[in-house]
Amino acid sequence: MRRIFFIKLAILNTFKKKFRAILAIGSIALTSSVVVVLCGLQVGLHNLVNTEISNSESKEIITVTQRNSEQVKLDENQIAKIQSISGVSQVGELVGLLGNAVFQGIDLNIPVYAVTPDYFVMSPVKFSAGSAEGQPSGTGVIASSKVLSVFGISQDEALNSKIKLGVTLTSDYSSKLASQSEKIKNKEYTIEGVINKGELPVIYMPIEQLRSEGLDNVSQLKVQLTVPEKVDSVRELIEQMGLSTTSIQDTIDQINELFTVINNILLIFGVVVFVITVSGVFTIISLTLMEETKQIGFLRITGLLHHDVKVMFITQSIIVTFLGAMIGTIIGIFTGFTLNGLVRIAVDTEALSGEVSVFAIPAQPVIIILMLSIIIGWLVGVIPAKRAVLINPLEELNS
Amino acid sequence: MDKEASPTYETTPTDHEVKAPIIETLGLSKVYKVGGGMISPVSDVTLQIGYGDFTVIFGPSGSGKSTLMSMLLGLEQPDIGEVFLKGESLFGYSEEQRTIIRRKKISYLPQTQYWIESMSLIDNVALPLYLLGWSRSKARKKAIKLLIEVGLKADIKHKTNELSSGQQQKAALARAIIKDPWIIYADEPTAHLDTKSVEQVTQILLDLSIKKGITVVMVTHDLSFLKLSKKWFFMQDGRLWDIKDKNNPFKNISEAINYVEKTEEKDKP
Repeated sequence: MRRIFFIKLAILNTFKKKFRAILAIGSIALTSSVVVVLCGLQVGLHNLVNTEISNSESKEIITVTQRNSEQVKLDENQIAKIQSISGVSQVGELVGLLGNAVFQGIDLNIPVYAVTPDYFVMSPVKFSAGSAEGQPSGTGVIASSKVLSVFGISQDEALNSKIKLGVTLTSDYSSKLASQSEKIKNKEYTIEGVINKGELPVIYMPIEQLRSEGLDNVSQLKVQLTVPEKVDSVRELIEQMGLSTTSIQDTIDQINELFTVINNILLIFGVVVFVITVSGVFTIISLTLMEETKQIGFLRITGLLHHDVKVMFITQSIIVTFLGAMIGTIIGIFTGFTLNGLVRIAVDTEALSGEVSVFAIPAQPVIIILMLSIIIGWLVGVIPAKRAVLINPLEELNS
Repeated sequence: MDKEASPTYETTPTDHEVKAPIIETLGLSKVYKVGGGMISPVSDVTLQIGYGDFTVIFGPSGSGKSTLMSMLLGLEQPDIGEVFLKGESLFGYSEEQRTIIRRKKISYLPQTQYWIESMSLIDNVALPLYLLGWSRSKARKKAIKLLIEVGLKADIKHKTNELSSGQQQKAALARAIIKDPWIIYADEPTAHLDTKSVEQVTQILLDLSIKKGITVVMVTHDLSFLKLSKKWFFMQDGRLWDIKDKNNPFKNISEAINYVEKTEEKDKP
């Protein structure tokens, strides 16, 4: 009962000067909410980027390209060597060429990627229509939604529609060409799938169609491994062959490095906020002490122990800091979710995997903020409390 | 005396003259260092106050009354001498134990009241019981009963700042007696009151002393209290004099009163 009375008294004293209490709690709430929003954005964006990267490719995939300085080409022999490396389960091929598509009299010059049928399994893209499995194969092609919008047809209309497609084969990818480049005349293909690539018009065609035209090396390989642990050793072997390799882990590492920098900036910001909060609350609690010395003096004569005075002051300052941090956290989370809503309205989420969340509740920082608020409250309450117990009660009453 | 539990003394004798002392001091002195010198606001004070006595300590401002009261309350440790409460050395107890003794059995009635403005009048009066761990309903019930006893029935629902000085002092009296104390230390309790309120507060204090056997130790400038009290002390330059003491610098009370009045007159701006 006594403790409840002290806590009640601490609450009453805290809100005795309402404007001051609101100012103190408000300033802590404001700084806490800014920290929560920033940390939430950091966590949300980190998650978003990682999700997008992970969805685009798994960690068991290595991308192999030609090294600029080397003359080693990604031809049949090299591909066979790579396939024979222990831990490699399959290899997908890709070559990027300039192409020309004609649909109902509309002529469009666009990039064309010739790929093996297993390519989309290793490098997944979001299909808006049709299926990724075994595509593209035979005379089937996959078109991006931008291509359809240029041709003025819907996705439903596009599926199974006929399109004429030709590519320009260069000597980089064919040793049999007489000239530097040779245009392969348009052939009829069937659109068997639609993918979303945002504003990029692109068509994926079966690589087999170009082999008979003289294509004997490619610009990129996707190497799938049996287990992600093999990535480093396989990469090393491929690089020893004079080829260049990249892995999704490189991007993840770079992003993690970037977010480490952001984390450090947030940490510095947090320290600054901590100092401002401590000095602000300390001033307020000290002011309260100056105003309440007579009350404390009388209560001490009436039987308030030193310990009770400390409990009262520390409770008072913890109420201010914890309440401020709580309100700030709620405001921060609310602001974060509002940002998520605005981003979902503003951004074309079709191009991204799943629902876009630039903000995620930063659980760890929130716990730290709340715990820190209690520690700050305790710290800033201790000194005024010590001063309060040192006053001479009778002198204070008679002053 | 059990240092945590309430004492076992239960009787409340009314005959002042034959009672053993509840408060006793022996050669009490306090010395402060001021600048290069020393001052002694209380010097070699020896007194005895019996159970249920209505005792007045009077003297001019700066004579050392507040420092003496501070030591009697156990707030300030004397440099020399000892305070005995019911025969036990008060400063033999720890500070925490002295606070618990005050919480349980000693009340203080200041000249200006200190209320917790955000709390109701009833809760303010019940405050000493909250410190003792009473439940709110039980404490409030007793507070209401005492507020009625001191004549504030009509003002129970008022806030403390809505009461006149006289009403506030009556409420403060209710707060002082709510825990059934052994002693009430009253510090100029009628200083800011009108004549009618002075009479009422004085009467309540006297009744308490006589009927409930509560010992009242009053520090005052108000010389009218001298007529009501059987036991009084005069304080001058840190020394306390009993009028019955042969070494008393004054021949009688009138001479002491004249001295105080002249000193107070001189101090007026």
